[in-house]
Amino acid sequence: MNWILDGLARIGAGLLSLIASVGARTLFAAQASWRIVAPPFYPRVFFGQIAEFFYFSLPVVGLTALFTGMVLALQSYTGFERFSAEAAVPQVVALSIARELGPVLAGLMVSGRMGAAMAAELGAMRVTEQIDALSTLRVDPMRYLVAPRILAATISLPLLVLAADIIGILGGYLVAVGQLGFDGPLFISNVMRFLTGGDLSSGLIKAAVFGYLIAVMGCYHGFTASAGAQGVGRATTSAVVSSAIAILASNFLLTALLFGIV
Amino acid sequence: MTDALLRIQDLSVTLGGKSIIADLNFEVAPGETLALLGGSGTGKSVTLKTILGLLPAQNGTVELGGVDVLTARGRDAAQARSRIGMLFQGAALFDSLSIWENIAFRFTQAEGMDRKTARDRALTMLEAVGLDPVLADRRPADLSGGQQKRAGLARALAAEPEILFFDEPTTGLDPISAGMIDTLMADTITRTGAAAVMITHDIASVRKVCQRVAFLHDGTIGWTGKVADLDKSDFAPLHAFLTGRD
Repeated sequence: MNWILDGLARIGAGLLSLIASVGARTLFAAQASWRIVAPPFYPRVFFGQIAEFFYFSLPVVGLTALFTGMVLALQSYTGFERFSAEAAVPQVVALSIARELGPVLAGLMVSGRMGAAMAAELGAMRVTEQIDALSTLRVDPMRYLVAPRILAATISLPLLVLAADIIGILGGYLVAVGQLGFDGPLFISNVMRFLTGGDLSSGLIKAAVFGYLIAVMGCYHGFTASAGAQGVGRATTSAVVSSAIAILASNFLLTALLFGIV
Repeated sequence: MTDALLRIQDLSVTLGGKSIIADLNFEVAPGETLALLGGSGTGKSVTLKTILGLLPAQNGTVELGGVDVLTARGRDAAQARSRIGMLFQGAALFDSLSIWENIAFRFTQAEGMDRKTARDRALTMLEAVGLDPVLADRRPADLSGGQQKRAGLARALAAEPEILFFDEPTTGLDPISAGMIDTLMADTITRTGAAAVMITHDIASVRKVCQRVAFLHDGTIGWTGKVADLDKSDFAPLHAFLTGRD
């Protein structure tokens, strides 16, 4: 009997810990989000973060999108060939990139790059007392460090995804036209005719949510880092893992909401 | 009741369910320099962080210029905090900013001063702590440990605080650099007339800079007196501390 009670106690403790952990992140996100809209603002920090998020992430997101579009064209062609539906390749490439692969892959790549960077930077600032120093200089660390990063990520990721959509479809075009013998103008006209504003905007809405989540997770884990270099390392790993899980889970919910499936 | 600049009354702090400091009481008069001594884990840093508002207190008051910084909000809190300058153990300079931007941080970010005026003031502060103005555009990582401490002191002094806090100011420095920082702190305190609270394990530093000592033991003040009376104390834990047995 005792082992049943012990098991239940462990499950209960795990659940409580999960709720506390989600609650801490939610509270952190709410406190930071309030500071996005309430002055004072720090435009220099914000524009610096926009450069980090958009400009410096563009090469890695662009390459990811290019190769994804190329692989998608090849895979869908070899699959569709079995039932003579090769003509649908442009539509499948465009739809997959715009609705799913663009935002999700860009989100995952940026979470690896920027989520980790934010956690490492803020974590190092925490353990070297730079965050405490901000407070003693009458500057609110949440307002100065966290709010500009969250706003920059929420704005930058949709812009990155828009670029990823174009580059990904271009990748599909290069393989379809260069290797599979598709007609170039027909490929483009099929994409333009089939892709709706709703397809694009759903991807961009997802990207904005993913950007917000990446920044919240990166900042939260950095802000709460402790125990020196090892703690900063742990914070960085946790930021990447939790933002990746948040992206994938929220992607399911957003897909269901945006396309009215539930 | 004296006209203390800093008055700590019945301060208690508990972290993770463990009592770190309990019913702590001490005062610092304007212009006075107090060393807060104690063995490792006696709550010196916790006391300092609580005074600075970085940790919550379970009980008590921390009055700075008559304002309780633990409960003050808005303008009162900002005014109380503007009386404080802090030199952190590792200087805690912002890595992403140049030295002059670090020193002028409070001016540019909290007070909205234009960058040119702020830079001019930062250069004056650099010279005041004996650093070459040519270092103004360098990053903290380009400076030695001693230079970083000086830059940290310049940042603490920039807003002309009424009270300075030093957290282990000579830790990690070679004896020559430590001696220079001690001299700089003592000269700065004399020149500005600011009060100071220093947390340190470095007794040589205490003898050079401070007037009075408060010794923390079991989360409260175990002994207090003039620096000159340190060696005459018969308080056993302080004696053990001074002879390096704690």
